Amino acid sequence: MTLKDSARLGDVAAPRKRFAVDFSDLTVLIVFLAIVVYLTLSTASFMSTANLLAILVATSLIAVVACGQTFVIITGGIDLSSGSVVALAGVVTGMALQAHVPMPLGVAIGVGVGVACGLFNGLAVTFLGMNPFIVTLAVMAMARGLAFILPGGATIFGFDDSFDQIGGGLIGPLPIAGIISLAALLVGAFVLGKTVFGAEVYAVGGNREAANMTGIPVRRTLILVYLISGALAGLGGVILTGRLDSAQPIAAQGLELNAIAAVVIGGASLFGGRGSMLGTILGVLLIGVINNGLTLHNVEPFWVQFIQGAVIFLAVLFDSLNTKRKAAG
Amino acid sequence: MSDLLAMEGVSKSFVGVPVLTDVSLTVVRGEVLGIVGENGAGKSTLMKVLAGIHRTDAGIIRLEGKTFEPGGPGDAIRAGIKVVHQELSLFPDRTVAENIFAGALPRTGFGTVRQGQLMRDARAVLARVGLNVAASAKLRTLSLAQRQLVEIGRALSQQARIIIMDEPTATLTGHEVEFLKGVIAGLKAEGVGIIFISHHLEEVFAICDRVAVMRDGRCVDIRPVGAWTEDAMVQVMVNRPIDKFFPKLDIAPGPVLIEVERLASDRRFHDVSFQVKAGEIYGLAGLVGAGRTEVLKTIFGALPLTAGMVRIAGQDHRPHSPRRSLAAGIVLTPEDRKAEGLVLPFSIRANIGMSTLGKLARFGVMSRRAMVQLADQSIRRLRIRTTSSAQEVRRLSGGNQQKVVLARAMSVTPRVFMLDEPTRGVDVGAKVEVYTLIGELAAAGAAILIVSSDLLELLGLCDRIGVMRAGRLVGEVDRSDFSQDRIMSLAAIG
Repeated sequence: MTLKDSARLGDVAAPRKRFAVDFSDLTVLIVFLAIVVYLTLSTASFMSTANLLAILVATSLIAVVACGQTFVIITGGIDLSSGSVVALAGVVTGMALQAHVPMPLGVAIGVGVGVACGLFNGLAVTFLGMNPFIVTLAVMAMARGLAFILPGGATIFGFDDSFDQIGGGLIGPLPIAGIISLAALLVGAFVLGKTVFGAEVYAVGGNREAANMTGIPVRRTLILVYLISGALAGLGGVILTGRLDSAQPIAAQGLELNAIAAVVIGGASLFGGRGSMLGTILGVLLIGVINNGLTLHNVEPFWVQFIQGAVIFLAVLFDSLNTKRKAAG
Repeated sequence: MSDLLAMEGVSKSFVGVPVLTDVSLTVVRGEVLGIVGENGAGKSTLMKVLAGIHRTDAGIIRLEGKTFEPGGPGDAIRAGIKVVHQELSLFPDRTVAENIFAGALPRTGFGTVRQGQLMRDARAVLARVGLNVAASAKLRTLSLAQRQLVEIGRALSQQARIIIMDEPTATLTGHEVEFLKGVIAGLKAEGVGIIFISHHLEEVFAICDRVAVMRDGRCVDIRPVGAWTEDAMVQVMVNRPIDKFFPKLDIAPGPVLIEVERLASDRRFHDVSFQVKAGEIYGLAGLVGAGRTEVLKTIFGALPLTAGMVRIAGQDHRPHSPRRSLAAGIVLTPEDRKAEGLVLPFSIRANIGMSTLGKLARFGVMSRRAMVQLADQSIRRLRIRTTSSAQEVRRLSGGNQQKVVLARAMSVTPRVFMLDEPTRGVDVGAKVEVYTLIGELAAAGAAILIVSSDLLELLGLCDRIGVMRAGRLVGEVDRSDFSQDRIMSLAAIG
C-alpha cells in the first residue's frame, strides 16, 4: 500500500510496474523509521514499553481529531473549530458530571456537543454556501467563547474515577484513550477507503461540480464530514477531560493546527480529492515520536515548536516537488 | 530568408517516448498555416515548444532568420509569439479589461492602475474582435465563446508577430466564426503569421493558406489549401479511409419518452416545448448563449425550473437534482468535460463508477471487483485507448475522455440521453466512433437529445432539429427538410 493512495474509489494511482516502488510516496514512512532508529540508538528509554505507551496516550487526542479532519480535508474543506470544540465538549461534559449525570450520559453529551458544532459548520458550508475556512474560524471563536462563558471561566474538576478511566485508565497494559483513538482511526480508514460514503467524499473533493452532475449527494456528503469531525472533536474533549481529571476552557488551544498538519504530512491535499487515513496515522505518529524524542533529549520547549514547524514545511515541500515531477513526466 | 518562422528537424520525447519526430515547418509573413491531426498527433506539443513551455531535444527554430531558443514562456512572449489557448487561461473574477491587459496594466507613477486608459484601450481591443460586452464586466459573466474572443483580443493587444490559435473555433458558432475570419484577414494584412490548429476541417479550408497534417508526432504532408480535399485530409490524418462519417441508422420511433412543456428557467430561457420518442435523435441548434445548454441542465435538475413540466415515459418528473434525474432514467453529459464531467486526477474506473456507486457496493462497502469489471467492459465496448482502467483520466486524449463520460452515462442504463457538445475537442477518428455509438443507443430504444455547435454534425445525426434563439425555441425542422440555410436563418433571425 502506498501512503498517498489518493481516492480509494478504486485505485487511482497511475499504473505502476509491479515491483517498482514509487520512492516519493514512502517519504513519510522513511523519515518516521529513521527517527525511530535514531531515538532507539541515542536514548536508553525510547524503546521501553512505558515510553511507547506514553507516546500512544500523548498522541491519542490529536489522533482522534486528525481522523475527523482527514474526512473534511479530502472534500477540499478545513475544520478550524476542532480545538475549541474539544474544550467546549470537555467543559459541558464536566458540568454535566458535576450535576451527577451518569457517566455514559456524560460521554454522550460531550460527543453531542461536538455533533451540534459539526452540524452547524456543515449546514453553513452547504446551505448558506459559506467558505469552510471562514465558517469554522467563526465557530472556533464562538465555541471557545462558550467554553469560558458556561462555567464562568472556571476550571471544573473532581470527577468519578470511572470517568477518569477514559483518559488515563488501562485495559491490561493498554491505555483506554489509546484504544479509543486507534479504533477511531481504523473505523475511519475502513469508511474512507472501502465504503460508498468514502468514495463520495473523494469525488466531492476531486471535483465538486462533476460529483453533483454524476448524482453524488454533495450536500449530504459535506454535512456528514463536518458532523464526523465535530463528533470526534467532542469525543476528544471527553478523553482530555478524563485524562486531566478536569475540564479547562483554555484546553486544546491550537490542537486543530497540529491535526491538520498530521493530515497534510500524511499526503492529503488541501485542495481536496487526495489523502488517506493510513497517511494520517503516519502523520500523527511522526509528530508523536518527534515530540517524544525532543522530550527525551531535553530539548527546550521553544525549539519543539520550531522543529514541528520545520517538519511540516519539509513534508509539504517534498510533496510539492513530487507533484511537480509527476506532472512533468 | 523571407520566412517569418522556420522549424527544422524538431524532435522531442518525454521519458523516452517520442512525441515529435523530425518536424520541419515554415510560416511566412501574412500567412495562415493550418495544422490538423488527431489528438495525440503532437500538435499541442509542437505549439508548446514554440511557446517556450517545452524545450526541443533536437532541431533548430529560426525566427526571422535568427536562431530562437526560448528558455521559458516569457522569452516566447517577448519574441512576439502569442498563444490563444485551447484551455482558456483567463481570470474569471477579474474584469474583461484586466484580462486583456493582464501582466501589462497601464500604471501611474505611484504604481496604481490607470483605470481610464485601461478601459479605453480595452474597448478598442473589444471592437477589433467584435465583442459587444462592457470592458468592466467580470469575465465570469461571459460565455465560453465570448471568453475565447477575449483571449484573442489579449493576443492582439500584445503586438504579436506570430499568433498560435489552438482550437480557437472549438466553441464558436456561426457568426462568431465569420467574425474571426474577418479578424484574421486584418492580421494577415498587418503581416502577422498565424498558426491555426483545429478539428473543424470546414474552418481550416475557409481560413488557412496552407495546411500541414500531423500524425504520430510527424509532419506527414503539407500542401497549399487548394491542393487538399476534405476526404484526402481525413485519410492522411487517420491513415485509413472513412467510408461513412455519419452512420445514420433507420430506426422506427417508439413511444414518447421525454416530453417538455412550456419549460422555463428564470432569465435563461422560457416557453420551451418538445417531445422525443424512443429511438429518436433530437438536436438543439442555435448560437452560443441561445439557452440550449441551460434547457438540458434544467431538465437534469442542475438549474432551477421556474415554470413548465417534464414528463419521462408519461410520468411527471420534478427535476430537483441530478441525483433524482439519474434515478428517473435521464443522464446529461456536460459541455465542459473537464469542469463538470470528470475528476481529472482520478482513474478511469473511478470516473466510470461515479454514478453507480451504490450498485457497485454491497451493504455500503465498495466492491473493487465490480468496479474493475464495469470499467473493463466499458473500455472494450467504447474502445477507450488506455493501458489499464487504473490510468488517470487527465492523461487521456479528448476523445478518450469523452468516451469515459459516455461510459458513465451508459452505466446507469438511462432512457433519455442528453449530450451537450459530445464531440467538442474530439479528434476525427473518435468522432465517428461517438456518432456510431449514439446511433446504437437510439437503436436500443433510448431517446437522445443533442446540443452541438457543429451544424453538420446535427444534420448528419438527427431525426429532428429544434432551433433556439435568445432563450426561445423558434422552430423545429424534420430530417426531410434539413438544410443549413434553413437552420442558420432560424437561429440568427428567428
